[in-house]
Amino acid sequence: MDMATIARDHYDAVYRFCARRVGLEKAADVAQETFLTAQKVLHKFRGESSLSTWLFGIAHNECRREFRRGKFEPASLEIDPSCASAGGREDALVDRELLRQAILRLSDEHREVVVMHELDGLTYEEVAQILNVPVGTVKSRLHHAFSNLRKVMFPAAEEVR
Amino acid sequence: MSVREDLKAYVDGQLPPMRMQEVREALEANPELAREAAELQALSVAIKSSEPAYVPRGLDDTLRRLHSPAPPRWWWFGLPLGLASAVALAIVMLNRPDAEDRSSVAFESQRERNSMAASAAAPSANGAVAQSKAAPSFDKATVEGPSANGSVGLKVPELNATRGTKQRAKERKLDSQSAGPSTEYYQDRISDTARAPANPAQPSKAKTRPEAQEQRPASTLKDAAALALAVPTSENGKQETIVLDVDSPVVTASRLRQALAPYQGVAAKQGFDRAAAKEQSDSYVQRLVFEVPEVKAKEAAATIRSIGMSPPMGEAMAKNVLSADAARLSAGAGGPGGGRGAGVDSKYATARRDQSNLAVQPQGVGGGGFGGGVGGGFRAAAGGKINTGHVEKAPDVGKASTPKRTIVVVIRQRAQSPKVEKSPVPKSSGPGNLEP
Repeated sequence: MDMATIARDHYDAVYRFCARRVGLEKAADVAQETFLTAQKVLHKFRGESSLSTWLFGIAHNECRREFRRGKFEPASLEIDPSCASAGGREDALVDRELLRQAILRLSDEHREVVVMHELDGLTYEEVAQILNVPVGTVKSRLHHAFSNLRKVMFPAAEEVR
Repeated sequence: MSVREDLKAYVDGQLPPMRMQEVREALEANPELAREAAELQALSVAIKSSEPAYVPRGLDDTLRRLHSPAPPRWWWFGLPLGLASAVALAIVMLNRPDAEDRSSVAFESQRERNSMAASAAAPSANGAVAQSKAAPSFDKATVEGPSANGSVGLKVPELNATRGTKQRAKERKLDSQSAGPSTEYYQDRISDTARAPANPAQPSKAKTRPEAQEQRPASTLKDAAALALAVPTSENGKQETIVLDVDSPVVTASRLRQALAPYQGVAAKQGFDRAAAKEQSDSYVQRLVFEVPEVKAKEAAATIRSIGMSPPMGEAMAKNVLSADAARLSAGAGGPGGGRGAGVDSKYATARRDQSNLAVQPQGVGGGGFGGGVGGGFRAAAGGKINTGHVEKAPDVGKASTPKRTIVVVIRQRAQSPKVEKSPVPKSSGPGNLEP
């Protein structure tokens, strides 16, 4: 398996994965380190997960290493205000700035699974493989994370109930 | 697990088919759950749609890096190498029995060799280079305990153990200067001379200062006795011991060697009083052993005493005068110059004359000189163990049957006394702390 081919196929996804965590400035460097590391340990890939999941796992470790090296907080969730009117009916019900604040208030563990599942498009099993936790843990974290978001975004509904 | 807890997974489609059917039925039956599921769906859509579009960059750089060979990881070699070096160094340091002791021995030996070489290189009064090859090592033999012969009427010198490291460092600095003592040294010596008692009959400084006696450890006195007695005597057993209290034993020893070098082999080694060094600061006694012809023993002893009591500036002048006299005598120009002692005190002039006489004599004997060398290095340890250096006897080129006398010079560090204001004592007043 040629690593250059793998990089061409998965670079965009890995780049976005890194950008969501370390920001646009460092995303290219971290993505590059991800593929360089993957090239060194490619012989260890046994096909137990998809190649993209394996690369995301490496990218996740590289992002954490970058956090330790730079000692900066993980990048907050980027929300584009211009997308406010682009959504459908459900999208119009949500205040995006309020949503950003609510996501920032989540714990790291909850925010991590939210970003992985909602933004990176990973399934519960893939998130569990990357985080090395059981699938039930991922499901539970997502349930609690969205419960907290609902309390912030739909307070009236919570009071009625 | 309740349906509400699986609601998010149901919205995401992450439940098994059977559980999906159960939740679907529950939502149809309960409009509150249905509304909750709708809110979760709205949140999920809002999160996904609010993300800005990222334009990936850096793919080309990544591809280039992937094709370039990886640089060698030298630290894989450096890390174990550094660890091995550190371990080896630690083992070496731990296996040394007494690191301080060894360094001290090395320093003293090197200093001894330097001073011996300096004295050998100095032109002697008879024009010959004395002991030019004599820079022996004294670290070859070891004997246990002092070998006292009862013929020495020695009063055991009392050591001064209050000597500070600053003074020691100054002496080392002076010792490293082969050209001679510095101005600072001369000033020190002159001031000490001014403090010295005017009457030679007075007891020495160490005896007049009770606090100095209190600070002396018993082992120091024992080592001092061993120092004076453990001297190899000459064949006829005659021995004389002279104790000098000086400010700088090293410099004094060097001058003694220079002065007596033309007549006999000089072999000496200073001993370091380990017990005193541990208990107080550091103090040591230096011992020189001279083997001189019997007929010249008195002159040699006078020379030794004069060097011990004379101010260094005068010594330097006398040395110059002696050298000039010797050169002139060797050229047949006449005897010792009596009129050159201007500015030098009377004792000093005596010393100069003594040295001049001594210097001329070997030529009169036949020009052979006395090359016998007695190696008497030792090292006084706290337990009374004394290491004596090997005895080197150069072949006598003069008369083999000439009776000889062994002169042991024990040079002690003069006791450090608190600063005393300089009194207008004339320069000619001797220190008076000699113990014949």
